[in-house]
Amino acid sequence: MKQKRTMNLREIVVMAFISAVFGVLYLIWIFLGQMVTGVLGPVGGGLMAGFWIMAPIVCALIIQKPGAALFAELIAAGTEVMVGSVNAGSVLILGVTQGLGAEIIFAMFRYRSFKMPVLMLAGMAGTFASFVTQFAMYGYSQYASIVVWLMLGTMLLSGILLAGWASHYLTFALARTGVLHNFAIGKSEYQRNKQEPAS
Amino acid sequence: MSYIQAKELSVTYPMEEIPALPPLNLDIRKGEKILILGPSGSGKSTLALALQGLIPRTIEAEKTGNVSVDGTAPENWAIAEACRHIGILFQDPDTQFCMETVEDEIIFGMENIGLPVGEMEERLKEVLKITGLEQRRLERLSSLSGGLKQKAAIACLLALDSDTYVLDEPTANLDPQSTEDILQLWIDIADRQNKTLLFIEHKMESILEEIDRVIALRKEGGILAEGPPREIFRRSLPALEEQGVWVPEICREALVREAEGKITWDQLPLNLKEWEAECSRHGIVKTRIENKTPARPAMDTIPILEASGLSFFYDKKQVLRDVCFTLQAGEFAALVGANGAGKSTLAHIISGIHSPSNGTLLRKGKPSETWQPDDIMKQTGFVFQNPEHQFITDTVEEELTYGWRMAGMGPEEWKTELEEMLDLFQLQEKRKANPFSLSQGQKRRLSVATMLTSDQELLVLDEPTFGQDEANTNALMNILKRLHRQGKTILMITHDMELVDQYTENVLLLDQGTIAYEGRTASFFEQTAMLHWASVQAPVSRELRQWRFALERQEAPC
Amino acid sequence: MLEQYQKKNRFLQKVNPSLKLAGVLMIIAVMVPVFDPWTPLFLFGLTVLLIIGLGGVSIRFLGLLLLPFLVFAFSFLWIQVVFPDERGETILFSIGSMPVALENVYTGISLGMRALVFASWSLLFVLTTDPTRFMLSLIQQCKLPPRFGYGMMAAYRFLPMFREELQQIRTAHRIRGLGEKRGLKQFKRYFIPLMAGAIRKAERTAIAMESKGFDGRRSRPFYQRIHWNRYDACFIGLFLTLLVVVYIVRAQWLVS
Ligand SMILES: Nc1ncnc2c1ncn2[C@@H]1O[C@H](COP(=O)(O)OP(=O)(O)OP(=O)(O)O)[C@@H](O)[C@H]1O
Ligand SMILES: Nc1ncnc2c1ncn2[C@@H]1O[C@H](COP(=O)(O)OP(=O)(O)OP(=O)(O)O)[C@@H](O)[C@H]1O
Ligand SMILES: [Mg+2]
Ligand SMILES: [Mg+2]
Repeated sequence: MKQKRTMNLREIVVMAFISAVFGVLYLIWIFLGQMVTGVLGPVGGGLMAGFWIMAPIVCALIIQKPGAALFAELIAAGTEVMVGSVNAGSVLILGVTQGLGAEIIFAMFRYRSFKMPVLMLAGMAGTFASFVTQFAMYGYSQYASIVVWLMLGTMLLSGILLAGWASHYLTFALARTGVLHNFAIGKSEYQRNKQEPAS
Repeated sequence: MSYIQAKELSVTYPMEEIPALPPLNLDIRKGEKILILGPSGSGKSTLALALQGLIPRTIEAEKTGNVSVDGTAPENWAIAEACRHIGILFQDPDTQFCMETVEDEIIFGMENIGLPVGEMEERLKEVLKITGLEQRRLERLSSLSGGLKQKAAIACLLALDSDTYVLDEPTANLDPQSTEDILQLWIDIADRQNKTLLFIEHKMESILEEIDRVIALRKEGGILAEGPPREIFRRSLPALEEQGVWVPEICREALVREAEGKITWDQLPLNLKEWEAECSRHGIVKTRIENKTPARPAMDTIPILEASGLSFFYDKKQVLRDVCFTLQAGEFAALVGANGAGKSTLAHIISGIHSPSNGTLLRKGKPSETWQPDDIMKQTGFVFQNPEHQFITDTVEEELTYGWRMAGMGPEEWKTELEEMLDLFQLQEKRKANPFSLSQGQKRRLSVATMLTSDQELLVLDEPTFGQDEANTNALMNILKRLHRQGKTILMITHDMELVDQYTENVLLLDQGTIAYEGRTASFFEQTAMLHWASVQAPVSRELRQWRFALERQEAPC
Repeated sequence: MLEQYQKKNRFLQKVNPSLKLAGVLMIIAVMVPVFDPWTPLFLFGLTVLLIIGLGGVSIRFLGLLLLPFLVFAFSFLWIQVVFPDERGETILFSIGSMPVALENVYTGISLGMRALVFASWSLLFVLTTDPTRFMLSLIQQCKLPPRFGYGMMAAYRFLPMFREELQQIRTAHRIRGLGEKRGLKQFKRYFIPLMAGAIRKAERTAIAMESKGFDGRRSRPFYQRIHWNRYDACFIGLFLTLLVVVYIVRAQWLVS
């Protein structure tokens, strides 16, 4: 079936809702993250970073159209601001860069492949973008380079695990509930099941 | 000249084998008021979507056959054009808004169809006036009660000024008084502006005589019966009953009495007024039966629940005040009251989800605070108003057997009971389906069924039967009755007074956050004045019983 | 709680939301090359005064919101002290065998204060901006496609409900005898019903929006137009003055 490449209203609203749920979860996560960062420092905080890239990856995986990752992250950031994030400015800037990071990877695969390695790569790109932004915004240049490198390492790892693997796991669990039948992921899942019936 | 016409119209959702709407023929004239009845899952909501062209324009379902409205096919309309022809009131009041306040939502629609600002102003005032929401225009939609949300949705639709309105269960979740008000509101609007109305409902007693034509759908597809209400219920009553479609109590009773030869109706009565008029022409008057219901037996056992002086606040807003009641073990009680009276809130307190702000709640004689939350939950089963909250497994079957498996029983112990449940709730063909992929009505049934299989001694059910057709309602109530006989205590919130009258022993009436009546069901319905101010109505069947008595004393038909 | 401030009739509330947002982003950009502690401290103080004076926000509420952020800000200080890029020369004292240098403490405070400045400006925006106006301004001034604007608005409306649902799902699990567990499995048990419900709701909402004639065209009439007005001019003036004052004060007294 021929697919239109632009997102329709239904997809946008669904994306907004998913991101909004993440927005709420982010608020809880932010709190956790600040505690971890406060105690363990940015290196430990880096481990939390992948969570912020989950919204764009989940949405991109569900909708599989250009722009989904970027817009999802923007909407998530926007929602976070509207619920009253203490950190609106940084959240928005980070939203743009993180979204762009993930989006670039999907674009490189021409929005055709959404397999686990691609998702992990996108997660890494997202956290990398996040790292670069924070580096400038929060003055990481003032720290010992070992700390900065370690932080980059943990962030990338978190990008692989949380943003890549966990997003994949949760999205497919979601697809099994049948609520995604009307979206790209539901359709491809259905076709796959049809080809290899009940194993 | 037909205005809406469907020829072999059929819709199949993507990845489904059976059509959601089997082939259907329709022929509706402009200005008609139609009631569409049909079993749950027969495709009524799907039909509404197809009539506005949302299928296939927005929802990628496969449509076959033809449909035309005012001479054109709905899918050819532009989006903004479609809503000028057909306006839909959706089944779920919560998900048809996208803005924050009442005013913003009404304006949203008018902006969409490109009205000039001056006209928006005028229409806004007008629709707020018609729906009586002038005082609430700046309120948040999420803070409105069920009835007010329904009215806000109506205001939005009226602002669009569509030619035809399709109303998908406009009264689900409304109290009896609001139900009547809202239905009457629609009839008035239709009469004043010559609109075409399509009601999709499971039940519609109060304005039946205003309906021009009833169309009853069959589950397997096609039309089961069609015609003016008086004719259809006279002609096809047994067929309707067999499909599990609702028939008015009064018509059923009338036909039974006629068959018995007690009376011959010149005109089948559709409401009590007509019944009364017809009878008085035959010279029959109602006999008042003195209902001698035994008072609630005084028990010396410790009640399962005993509340005194309970109050509850949401933030600063007081919702419950000075609530006192007792619930004896083994009782089957109904909790009734107007929309927004605080029923769900009280149910949440009873099941331990909220804690009261003030007052004491004794569970089996011990103060609620001294119980562990987990122990309260183990004793109290609760069916949420939203069924989706309850699902924790991947298939319908697992969901049903979860309670048994947790209790450590093996398949051989619950096998037959499982089959029985699946049959009773018509979930047999969905047994392997994921709970989230069910239709609204099916989900509701499953969520209730899951609670029936676990073994809590107190069951609290929040509107377990809304949106269900008659067959499923009966199945559900019969199970509750059986559980009650086995000794469970049941507290059911409902707006359906027929059920209250037929099944429950005691009634708790909540009025503006406080208990206004506590006692036997039979005496409850005799307090006419109280029923009136609490927005409750006595069920028709109670009146009918008195008439039956009168008819029985008739010697022969006149 | 927020709403009460967002709907107040004060100066900051009347400024165009997009303009305020631009202000927040400007501040972030301006702060990037600053590494002394006094400038952010000074700017932070001025910002708090602005929020209280021109936005009508109570100082207690503001403090309550900023408090958890302090922990985050503090992390910048101690990491700077322990793992500096280069250790300073003015040793104040030693913790164990580790010398603590004044220069590093200064940089640490500067970075921490910078985070607080970002936070205070974010609060300036969040506490004084009505979400509906924000969305309308994004559509009308920033040319955001209406589909995205109204889509976000719809999701925003459901936020309180999501929080409530999370609570209800938790209870439901407890009623059905599923204890509290930790880990990804448990997260999934909450996540799936919450998301599945959200997706179903989103689909129904989108369908309802289209059925009300919403086609996402840019050329729609607006009942409420967000116009540029004199408050915006005042805000621009104020913002520039603030930057100039901070610049002068910094050049004169703070950085010698
Ligand atoms: N989006 C969808 N995807 C797949 N199947 C669906 C979808 N919506 C509805 N169905 C299925 O189509 C059938 C008809 O659904 P529909 O909602 O039209 O029924 P209904 O007559 O309105 O029922 P009710 O009285 O319970 O509201 C049901 O079996 C349902 O499971
Ligand atoms: N989470 C909440 N926050 C604030 N107010 C609430 C909340 N939930 C309910 N209310 C308000 O409390 C009152 C009682 O609500 P409740 O849901 O208990 O009514 P109800 O009797 O169940 O009504 P219905 O028959 O419409 O379901 C209403 O005025 C409602 O607006
Ligand atoms: Mg329906
Ligand atoms: Mg309720």
